[in-house]
Amino acid sequence: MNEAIKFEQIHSYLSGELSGTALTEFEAQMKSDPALKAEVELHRDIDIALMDDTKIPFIQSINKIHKANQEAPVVDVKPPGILRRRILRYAGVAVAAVLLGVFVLPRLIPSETPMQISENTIGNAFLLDTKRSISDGSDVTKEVGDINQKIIAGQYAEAIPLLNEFYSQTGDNNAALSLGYCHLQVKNYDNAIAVLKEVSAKKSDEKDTAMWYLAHSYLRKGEKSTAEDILKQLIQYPKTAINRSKQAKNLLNSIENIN
Amino acid sequence: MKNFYPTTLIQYLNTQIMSNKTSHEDTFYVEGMLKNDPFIVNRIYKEFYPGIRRMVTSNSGNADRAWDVFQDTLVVIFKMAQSPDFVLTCPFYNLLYPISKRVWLKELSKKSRSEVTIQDEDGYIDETNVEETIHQMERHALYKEKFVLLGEKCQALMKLVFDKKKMREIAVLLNHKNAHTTRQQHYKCRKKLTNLIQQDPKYKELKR
Repeated sequence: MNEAIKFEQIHSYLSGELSGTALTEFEAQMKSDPALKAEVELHRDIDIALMDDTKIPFIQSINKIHKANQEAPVVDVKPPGILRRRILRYAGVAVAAVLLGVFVLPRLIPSETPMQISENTIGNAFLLDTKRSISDGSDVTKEVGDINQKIIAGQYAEAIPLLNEFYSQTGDNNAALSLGYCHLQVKNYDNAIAVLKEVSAKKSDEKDTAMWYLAHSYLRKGEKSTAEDILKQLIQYPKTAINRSKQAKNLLNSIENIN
Repeated sequence: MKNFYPTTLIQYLNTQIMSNKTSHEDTFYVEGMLKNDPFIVNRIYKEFYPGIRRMVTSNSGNADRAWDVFQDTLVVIFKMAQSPDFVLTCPFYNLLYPISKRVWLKELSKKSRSEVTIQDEDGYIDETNVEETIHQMERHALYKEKFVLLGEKCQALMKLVFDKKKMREIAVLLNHKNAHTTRQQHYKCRKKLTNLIQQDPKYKELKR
């Protein structure tokens, strides 16, 4: 069987798109062909490994529970009897370890620069969404594709004039976020701040992302305290997505120790 | 609500029935994770998070890091349960705790110049499930390492596929000629990734 066609079948099987006779036949083929079965298992394993963890429904649910419990103390469940005796026995050592961790360890860990912290935490580029693009009769989807292609390829300077035009025509918040991100990447921090402030001033679904990029813009510009203020606002904003809130808290912890 | 993995729970339940391994009574935790049962999710949080938090905060960590470790471990177990061969054969906490410990130890080792050990509760021996899960973690780390070696275009395309976008939609987002071109490109990217993985000597050691 042609390799590409075989891969298409494997992909359809793993996506749950095969059904009826096609599914039965494919499963029978796997049973009789160990090499095919191994290939299917490898692709399944790759899909599982590279899935976006933040989109797992169970993880989203448990995050919500954790957030709701943030204010209330977590009730410590009584451990089994044998463990309780051992825990009491090592209580002194545990206290010393906590004190060491709180006061000594931070001094031993070499600190990263603001730029390094920002680069490691900002996340992927924001792409334009074709479904929300407004068509004025021109070939908007092609234009969006061109812009996305440049952003994905890291050609931020080339994407900026296209995004400027797109944003001025459509007023699309997604375009503003992409524009802010691109300005940030080419170190036009003032331009990034200007466009991101516009989005973060509005009540919109993109406000939390705009604040996130805005904090990074100030951080890279060297205005650490402004970045911290924005992150605190982001954490307190009621419509901030749970994962974004978590990212903001982690970033705030990281930059609080920078001189 | 559209299922995240349409056949995963069914596969898992079938595996329990058909496997030679005896599944532990704690299997309901895994089922609860797979179908996102709110009662089970809440129970997992209330029963198991305190122990993990204790372990992390007793070993140079804080509450935020403890939450990250707990969450990362649950992701590892969730991914383990995606495998059609997985059967939980030990108490859920006997899997969760050693994996959490390993996750935290790895993080501490990255930051420390000398060898790190963890003070922890005794009594949790490494079970078969733990060994299998650690193998999976190492395999997945290898795949992620190779994924980064693909070009930006391949990475962008594959991320959109993992997000369950249709080929037609991806074609527009990435400015491809049509969906057929996207499918061809997807195949080439996958081929490149699997070649990179299979050529790495580590893969032969970690292969199931």
